[in-house]
Amino acid sequence: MRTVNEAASLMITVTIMTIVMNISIAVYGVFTRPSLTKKIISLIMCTDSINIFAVIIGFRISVRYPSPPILPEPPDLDDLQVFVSRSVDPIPQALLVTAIVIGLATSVFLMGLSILYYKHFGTTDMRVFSEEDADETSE
Amino acid sequence: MRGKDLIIAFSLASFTIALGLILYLEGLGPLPARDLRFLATSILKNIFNPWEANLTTYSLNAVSAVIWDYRALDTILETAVLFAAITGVTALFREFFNVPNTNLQSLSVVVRASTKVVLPLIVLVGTSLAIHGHLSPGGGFQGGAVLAVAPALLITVFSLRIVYDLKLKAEFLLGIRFSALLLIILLSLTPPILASISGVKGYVLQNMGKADSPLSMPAWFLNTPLAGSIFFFNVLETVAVVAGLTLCILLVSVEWGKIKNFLTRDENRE
Amino acid sequence: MIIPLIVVLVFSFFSIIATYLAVVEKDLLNSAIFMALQGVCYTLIYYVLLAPDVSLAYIPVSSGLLPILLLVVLRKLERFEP
Repeated sequence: MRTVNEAASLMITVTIMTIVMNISIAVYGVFTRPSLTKKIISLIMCTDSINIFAVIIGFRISVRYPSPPILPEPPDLDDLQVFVSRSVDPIPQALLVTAIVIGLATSVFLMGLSILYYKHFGTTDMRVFSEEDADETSE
Repeated sequence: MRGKDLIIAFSLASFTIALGLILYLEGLGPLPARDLRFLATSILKNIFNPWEANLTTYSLNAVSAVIWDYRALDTILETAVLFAAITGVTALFREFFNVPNTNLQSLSVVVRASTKVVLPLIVLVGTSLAIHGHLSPGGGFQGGAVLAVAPALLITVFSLRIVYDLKLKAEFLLGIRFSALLLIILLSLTPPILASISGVKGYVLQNMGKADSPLSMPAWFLNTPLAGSIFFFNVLETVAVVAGLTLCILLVSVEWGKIKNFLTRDENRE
Repeated sequence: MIIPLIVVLVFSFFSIIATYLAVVEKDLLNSAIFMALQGVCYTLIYYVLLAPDVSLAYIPVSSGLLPILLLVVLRKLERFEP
């Protein structure tokens, strides 16, 4: 039983490291790629990767067979005891639904803004502006 | 790659390795916790507990109970954030509210036939998720997002002409969104209004009766637990999300030429 | 509890590949498809870690609404990255 617990703990740690790597690849994409649409895609991937951490925090390792936070039928007092001793934390999942909605709202507004941006400037290449500013400050 | 890209990549790689090492050596504590926290224990014990009538909600789904009863103010403010984003998109594209008749083509016969098969299934799944939110996994936002995929598919496959054929107006969708939001706010303010009429105490966003307030929303529906205001909030939130997201997709997919005319006309005016 | 955690590990490695391919791709249509693929991997992780409400909220957002909106936006902007 103890070795099973430690093996499960190790696997969760490796999963956390892969999610951290996902976050850094997406942040690299926001900084270095010159197209506006590519920056929006990388920003969406970065917010989605951060949301996985909340579910991992609420998980339960020391129980042999955990259960989701839902009751199948109206319970008695004994059923309630079993349910509390086995279930997963419901509070991070509730905060996560809110976070997904807010991410969707931000992405929708950014896409609408980028269409009008393109019609006004004629290009989605963001390197144009930084080179112009550099020329003006050097002269 | 240029020099600046290399510096960014190297600093991100060292950040990744440092954070991984800290989490492995349990610098932030054992990450999936060993025992359930006290707040989670008390919430899980009280979501369906007829022996403790001051703290219960009569809902079988713990996440829906936390979203719409124990932390209901957070959810109302999140609906306000989605409303702010939709208002922003509407304000940017306000010239295109009357969708003109287009002669765009729809996609081929195969895609159209398979979409006609899939669309009623999407509507059925979305409605079922919205209504069953307090008894099984589901809820207001989940059902609303699934239902909003159907108009998005319709506009993509059948081209913007279907909006003109179905006589769907943007003001109509905006009106539905406003009314659903207004009904959510009215539902949250109902207990104090009823309380001031009948002379007892009532709290804002109250679901079941508390120790000093005998008002409560209906808790049973003929044999199944109906968790009071949670059911009504789920249905209203579904309607609001469908109307808002359909409006966004409609406004974003207006044709090229009309937006160009709009912008050049503005510059000629200045 | 071992086999579900092995599934989580395999799908998070798969999602690293999808994220890397989405960032370095020049054709932005393929980039949007890889973003949807990463969303599918994350949905499976949410389901195996016993969070059904979150995965039901994440499926239409990541595989239905955001790729459709991105395709509409790509039609009006440029398809290939400069």
